[in-house]
Amino acid sequence: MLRGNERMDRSILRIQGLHKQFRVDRATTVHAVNGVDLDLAPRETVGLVGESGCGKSTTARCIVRLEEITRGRILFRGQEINAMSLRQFRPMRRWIQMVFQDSMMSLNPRLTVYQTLREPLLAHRMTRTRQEMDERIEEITRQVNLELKYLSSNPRQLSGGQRQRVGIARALITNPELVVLDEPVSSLDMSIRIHIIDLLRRLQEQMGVTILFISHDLSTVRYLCQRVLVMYLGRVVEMGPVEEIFDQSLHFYTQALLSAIPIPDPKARRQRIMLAGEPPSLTKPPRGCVFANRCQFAVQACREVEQDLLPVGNGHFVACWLAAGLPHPQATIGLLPIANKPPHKDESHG
Amino acid sequence: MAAKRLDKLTRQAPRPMGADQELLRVERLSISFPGRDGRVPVVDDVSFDIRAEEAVGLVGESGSGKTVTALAIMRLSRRPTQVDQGQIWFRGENLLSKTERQLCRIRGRFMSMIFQTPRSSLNPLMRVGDQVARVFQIQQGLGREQARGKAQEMLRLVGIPEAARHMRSYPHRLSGGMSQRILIAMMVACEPNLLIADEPTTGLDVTVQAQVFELIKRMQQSHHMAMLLITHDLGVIAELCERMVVMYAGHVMETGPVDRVFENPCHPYMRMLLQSVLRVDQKIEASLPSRGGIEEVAYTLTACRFAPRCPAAMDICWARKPATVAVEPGHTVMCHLYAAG
Repeated sequence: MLRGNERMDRSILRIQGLHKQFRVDRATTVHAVNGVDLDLAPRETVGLVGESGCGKSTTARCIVRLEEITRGRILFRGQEINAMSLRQFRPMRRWIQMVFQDSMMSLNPRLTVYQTLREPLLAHRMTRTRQEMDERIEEITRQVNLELKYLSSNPRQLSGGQRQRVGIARALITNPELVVLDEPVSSLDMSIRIHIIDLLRRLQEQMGVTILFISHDLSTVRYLCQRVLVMYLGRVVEMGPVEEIFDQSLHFYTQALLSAIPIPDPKARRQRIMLAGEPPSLTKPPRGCVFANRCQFAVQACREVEQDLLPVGNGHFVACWLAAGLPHPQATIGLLPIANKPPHKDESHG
Repeated sequence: MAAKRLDKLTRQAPRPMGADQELLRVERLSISFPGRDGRVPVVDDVSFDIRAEEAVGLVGESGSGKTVTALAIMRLSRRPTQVDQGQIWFRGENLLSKTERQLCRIRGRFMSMIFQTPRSSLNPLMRVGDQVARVFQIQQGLGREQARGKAQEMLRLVGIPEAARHMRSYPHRLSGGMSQRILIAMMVACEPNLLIADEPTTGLDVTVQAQVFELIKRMQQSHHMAMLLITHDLGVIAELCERMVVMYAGHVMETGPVDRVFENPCHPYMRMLLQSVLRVDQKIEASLPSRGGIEEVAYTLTACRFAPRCPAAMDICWARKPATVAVEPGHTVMCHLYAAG
């Protein structure tokens, strides 16, 4: 694993202090992303996980500039893409592509599959002749395991799995360096989902593309990704190599999230951590640690001081002084426990 | 005679039935939709049963006929959906021969259903408290105040914080998880014998899903209800159910005790599902079994409907529908691989 400067220089995508706010009306602002840092090395697959409203999709949309960021920096190959004009950014889209969750909504219903796949080639002037274009389209169609006869079909004539293959083909046809996949399999049935996941794994090996995989489905992330970032309420609360996050998670939220997932094995027994309550409102994000109001270990100081990611070694970071085994930086405020309802533990199987 | 029996049935309050007693039996049920070339048999010759106080999981992918079957049990299928043949026995009576008037006394009181979309199941123009209270007013003939008292008690029971305040809330003020809790409160209010839950956590986050399932399980046990849980998530089945029914393209492929089916999956479809399942608690290195991209479901096949996707398909699979055979006590499979001889 690369460290320090070497890693920074080699990173393909770097996000520093990303903030994204949405103004709802004069009095209300939704703080969707609140200071996210992210570093993607070439050819790695990183999972961004969390529950709805944690800011994972907004982060993705900021990277491909479907949203303009409020504060922070997004560097792609060292170039600050958020500072470019849209005109300057347009050629960059060839290198940064996205696959969306809802394949029906993200494909133009009036274009055939062929026309859809032709668009990026035309937009980036990637092929010179008609023949070259057809060859490229056929090649990518084969790579995503879609039969060539579907090239003349409309999206509505395809099944969900086939449409998602088209979405993936459209993203990969420009030979991008970075692909952002936003919940690409969550609307698919289980046996079809597995085909798409398998396809992604194969493409990632063959094409050497860097992938940011956004999902709430942690078992898929475990299968596909090398590194994982766990988000909660617009912040990254834990980050590290996939095996460490899944087997030795440190943040109490990550532990609760993992324990909530049913295991398809009647014999599996484990302790479930049931979180009490619901996350706070994004319009009034808490001052201190974002998780303090649901954390059974929270003390007064947690509510006062914002918690940054702390290194615990081996590329593993956690946004919790307690989990990182450190004394609280501002212990003087008080380490009195606050009366959060303890989550009840439930001895259950599955 | 039948009417008389029903009168007796609906007048008495539901009481816990003895465990192991048969509560529901679906017998050779076939349901069809109109299609371009005649009617499409979306549920074909489906049979299974549920005993009192038992949790049965109904697994299958979209289009397997899970929801259609559940709606038929509740007698909520509407035209052009049509029940072509079969019987649905509930507490010893055939539901398919009941009039709408009779059904109204059964639904909500003896069996009730939780739907996929909690938000569209609540009346947006009515306060949550009043909606829950109405169940008591209609089903148990309670007065308004008494019913409201009971409703508030129910809200507390399903874990709504500040129940008194939320009695006055409108559904749009509630999160998805809260809405589902309200619906659960309404559905278990009369302690029905059978609760049908159709993907009750679709669209909810995993931590909320865990809360909702814990609540459903707690309610099912404390109220001595049987449950038919419809899901596509094998993890949920493993965690909550005792027995399971596996459907594919309108056929029941396998039924049996959950631990037996997981330990000894017989139908190639069930084996495929178990092989392709990903687990959070285990690292999977090997590549997943990947099979050709056949995604259309073959409802028109009169033989085995899984044949087009089946790795073990033989000539006979395309010719004739297999018989359902028992591979061990209580564990049945519909596949030519297990046919006698």
